[in-house]
Amino acid sequence: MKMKCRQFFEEFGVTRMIAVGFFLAIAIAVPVLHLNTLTLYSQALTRMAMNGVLVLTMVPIMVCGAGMNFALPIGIICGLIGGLISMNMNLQGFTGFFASILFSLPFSLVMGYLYGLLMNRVKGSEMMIATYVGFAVISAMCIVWLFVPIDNLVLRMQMGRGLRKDVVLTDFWAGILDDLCPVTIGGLTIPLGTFLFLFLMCFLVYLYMHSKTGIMMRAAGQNPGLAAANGINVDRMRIWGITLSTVLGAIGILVYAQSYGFMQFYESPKMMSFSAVAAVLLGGASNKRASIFNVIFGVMVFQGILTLSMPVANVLLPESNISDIVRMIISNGIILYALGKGSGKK
Amino acid sequence: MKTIKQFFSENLVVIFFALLCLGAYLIAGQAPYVVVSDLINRVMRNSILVLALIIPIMAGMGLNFGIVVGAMSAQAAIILITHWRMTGMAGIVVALLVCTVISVICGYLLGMLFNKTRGQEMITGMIAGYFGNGIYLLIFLVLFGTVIPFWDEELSIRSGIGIKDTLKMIDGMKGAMDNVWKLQLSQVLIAVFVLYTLYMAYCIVKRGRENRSAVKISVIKWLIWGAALAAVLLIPSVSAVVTRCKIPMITLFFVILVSVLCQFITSTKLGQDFRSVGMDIGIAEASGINVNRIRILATIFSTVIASWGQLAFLQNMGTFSTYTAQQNVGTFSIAALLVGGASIDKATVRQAFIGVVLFQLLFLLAPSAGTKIFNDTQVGEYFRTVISNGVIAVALVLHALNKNRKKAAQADSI
Repeated sequence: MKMKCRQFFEEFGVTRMIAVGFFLAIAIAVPVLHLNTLTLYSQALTRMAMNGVLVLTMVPIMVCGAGMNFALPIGIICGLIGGLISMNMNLQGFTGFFASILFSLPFSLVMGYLYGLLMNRVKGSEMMIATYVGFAVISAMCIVWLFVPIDNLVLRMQMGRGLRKDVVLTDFWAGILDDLCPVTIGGLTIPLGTFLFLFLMCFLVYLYMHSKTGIMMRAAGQNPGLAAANGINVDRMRIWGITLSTVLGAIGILVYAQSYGFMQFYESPKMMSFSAVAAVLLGGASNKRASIFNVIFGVMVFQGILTLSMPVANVLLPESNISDIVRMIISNGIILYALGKGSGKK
Repeated sequence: MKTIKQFFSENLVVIFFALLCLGAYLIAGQAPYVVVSDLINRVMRNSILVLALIIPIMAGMGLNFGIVVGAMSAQAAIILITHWRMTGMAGIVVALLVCTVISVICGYLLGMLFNKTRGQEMITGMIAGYFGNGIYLLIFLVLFGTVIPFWDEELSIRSGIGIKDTLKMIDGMKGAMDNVWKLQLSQVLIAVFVLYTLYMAYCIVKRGRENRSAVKISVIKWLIWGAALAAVLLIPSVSAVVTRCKIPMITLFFVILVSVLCQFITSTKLGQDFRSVGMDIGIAEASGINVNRIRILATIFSTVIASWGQLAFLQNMGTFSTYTAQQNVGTFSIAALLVGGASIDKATVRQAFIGVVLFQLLFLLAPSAGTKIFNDTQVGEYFRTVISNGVIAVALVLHALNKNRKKAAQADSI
């Protein structure tokens, strides 16, 4: 029993335990400090749901052995392009949302495939390259956004040319999933639509990961040499995993945008990958292992901390933006911890 | 003919960026004096940060994205000396001491982290920079004024907790290093030429007798440089620029000192150890070098030099945003080094200087060139980030391709 406990703690990791403990502490602190508990909890739930799919992108890419997906911006850009096309056609409501997903698909498939090809060439330093390829794509797209032809004047900057920095989605499909069938239990609002969509996505990924291809992908990720000896095309498996991850990234940003109410172009997606990586690691994933449970648990703890720490901190220390500081320390700390552990095993 | 071809293929990156700069200069159409004086300013304040990258590359740790940590230690030092109301050279010297102490500690911790994540130093350095940023924010935005007793009319936020987000150095501190002694660019050029002549004479006297052809080549070189200098000083339009531009001598000496350190460390025992660890960790370990210790030392060197660099940078600027000034230090310095033709496993002082000049030239010309072409200032700004991120991405990809090709070749030969 003692051994088992110890093993459990070792696998769980100190950083992770601190983070979970911190989450529980502030979750309890909210009612203790007489803050508006139900509203805050509802906000936390909304943020969990809206970030869920972005975190889910980590599963296929980590399982297939290409490391943490620091190139999430590539997927996000594809989603933004899809959203832009659909908004430019002035599609609204469900049509608009699903059209955005549909329009993003060809981009994310092609980009994911190309990105997969690149990652196969640079095995061993995927993470660093992914980060900078992501940054480079984001900054290149900044110029594209300035010159992209737009018919719908709502999207255009008031002065000069180019796309707005933030497009308000109220006229298009803001909250389309959030307001689908919100459940209110004694003042606590659960955005059930977004959660259902997230669970559907998780279920599809779960099915895929447990299909024959998924199992082959896992084998390719765990031990490429052995997998290749068994006749699995490792490179192809990696490309599939990366492409799937890019497609999910595109869908993820659309889900995020509908809940957030804005579509953010230009430089705002630059740092999104770090939060998503941190969330899945917090949920218990390691360099080559990531499950749906890690995603759900991780996004709950991470987004919970981010949402709840601000009001709690404001009571304890007025006028500080401690929430941002907490996010920086926890998310980067957990990534560093995972990096240290991942390389230590070799 | 063959050597020319070789020259082009070896310096492809430099030539490409030199042409880009030339194009941007022609399009932007700015006055030469403005460009040159701005360029001198930028090169002086950025080169030490770029030099900080050389030693970790020598030790085989790749591009040190962790220099951001060094930059933050310099910022902490400046906050302290501003609080102590120190000015002038005394302020600079105390700031140097304080930031050296902080950055040695930070470098040591960073080095230990790098040893735990061998093979992934670059991503670790980058994430460590973000993590360090969080700690830095925690200390100066939350702990100052609460846990650490601190109050300063000029620095503190009015609520008493934390430091203001824009830090204006007190009078006398802005340009404290730059303003001590300035000389005209023309005077500096002449001085450099005199030194070069003396060095040449020394070489000829010492070794000339055995090697006639080498003497001939060096005399021809001397004549060409002399002619170039004379041209610069005598052509009226150029000489007007050269005599008007001023060079901050103390900063220049500081830059030279650091580059001498980076250049000649290779001839010391420590430098040899850096080299052999960089060549092959396995062999170095087998030959009895304490690899972990050497790697930590390399990181400390890099962090300390980076903190000096950020200090030189900030004293030149005078005002900086307390919490974000360090953010782009890593990306911009690394991109500059790569523009100079360095790669992830080889970088020299010369490449660092070529890189800084070209990169900063492009940086200062891109916005106005972008405005001229597209009638939009933002294009140029975005173009700069595309270049800096793109250069790093391409260099990383090329390096990985090369490494994997070598690995495959090795596997084949076995």
